[in-house]
Amino acid sequence: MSDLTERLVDLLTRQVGVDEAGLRAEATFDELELDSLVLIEFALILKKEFGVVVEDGELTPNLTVQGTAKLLEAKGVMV
Amino acid sequence: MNRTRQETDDVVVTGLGLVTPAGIGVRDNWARVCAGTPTATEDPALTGAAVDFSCRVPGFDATAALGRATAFRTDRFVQLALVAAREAVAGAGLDPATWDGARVGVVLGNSLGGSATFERQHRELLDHGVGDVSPMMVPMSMVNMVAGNVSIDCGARGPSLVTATACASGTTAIGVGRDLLRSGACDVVIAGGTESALSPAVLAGLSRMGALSARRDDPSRASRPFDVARDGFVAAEGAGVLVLERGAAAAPRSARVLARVVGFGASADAHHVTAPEPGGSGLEAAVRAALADGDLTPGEVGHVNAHGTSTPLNDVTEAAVLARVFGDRPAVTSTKGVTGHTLAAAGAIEAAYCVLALRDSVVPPTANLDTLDPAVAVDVVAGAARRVDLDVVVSTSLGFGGFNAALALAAA
Repeated sequence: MSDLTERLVDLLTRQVGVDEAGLRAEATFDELELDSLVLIEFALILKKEFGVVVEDGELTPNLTVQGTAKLLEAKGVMV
Repeated sequence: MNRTRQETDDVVVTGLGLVTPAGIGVRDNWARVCAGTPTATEDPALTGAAVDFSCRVPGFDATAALGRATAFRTDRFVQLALVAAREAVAGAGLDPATWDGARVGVVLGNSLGGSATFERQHRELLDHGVGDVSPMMVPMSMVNMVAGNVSIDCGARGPSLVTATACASGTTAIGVGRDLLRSGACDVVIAGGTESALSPAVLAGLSRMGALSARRDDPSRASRPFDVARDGFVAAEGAGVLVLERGAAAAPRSARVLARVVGFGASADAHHVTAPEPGGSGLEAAVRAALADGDLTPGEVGHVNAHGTSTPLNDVTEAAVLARVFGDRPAVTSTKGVTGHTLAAAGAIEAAYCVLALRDSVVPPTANLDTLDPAVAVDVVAGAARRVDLDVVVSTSLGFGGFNAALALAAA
């Protein structure tokens, strides 16, 4: 798991309250039971954490945690 | 009392849940309230504000109590209610995993919703723009969401709503819950009230109204209902929940009946948005309506848990009404001397204290009552809890806007 993916896992467990037990890098947001409201909130959390704008609709239900890390890397986030 | 209704119409209390400045859980609450130990203290979150003290629930950890996911999705006013509701349902011996959720309703009182969330998000809007406002701001701050979240938490799919009669909301909720049960619409109602609005703008507003005590130099002595030196209430947060059932539904599962809800009365002053009608005629009507509803005479009431906010106006007006209706017989107390004023939660918290008073034949003292206001001509319990054999107790509540509500509870 990359450092960025680990940071995302940490944010998801510590802030959003996702259960650590089911949290794999390959898990989709849908599998993690994050609804559309929570995904928008998570985008806000990512903005505050990494300083990048994640537009509405970029975090989709079938995006994985790993995929989110790639998305952020493409926006220039480096850890 | 003259029991003219059938036994099957009886509405009983089978569970209690309390999360208040007096403690988390019924046991700690009752011990603190019976000891008459005030809870008002300096509030670090209010440093520099016009009023810098309040009554908060001590040591409340939403993450530990509810899990991170729920703590993340809810404002504190919902979190307090969730914990209280869980205690009440468990205490009633009910299991949400096996009950028929369609027959379970939720009626909770609230007035200011998630004001802390709202104020934080308003600050985000002003400082950073629309894009930084949380999408969860609205569902976290709407008043009805306390009933929504309790319903989600325990799978209650019957009629559910929030009652908003300001500081009478909790009492109103119990009355409405009782009526829902009597109508046959459900078999169980999770009824109560919650409030956690100790947020900067709300407190500034209350302070500007002159409603709050200004006793900054000695906050623990600030909430002093019926005392001659009272100067306003101490804002507090908390939640109280009662499980109500029709007696006929509780009996088959041998539920322990804690008390019976025998009367409810409500009225409006139609007078002023904040001041009670000076003669107290509105409150008197509500109290008499509750007695009539329960086929009760005033002489049967051994204890009144008064609204007793510690404001100059409320306490003297209310005391005059109680004297007119009851004379000096019942042991009167205001538990707000200990808990402060929990606003919409107060009526429900105080109903729970009434149930406990009936259970234990004990009337808790009014804290900080050093010198009774000479204008108060009722027997207010002070100094220490008093043992009183109790058959019927009454709880009174008054809310901004002129809302009056009274509840009569009888021993099981």
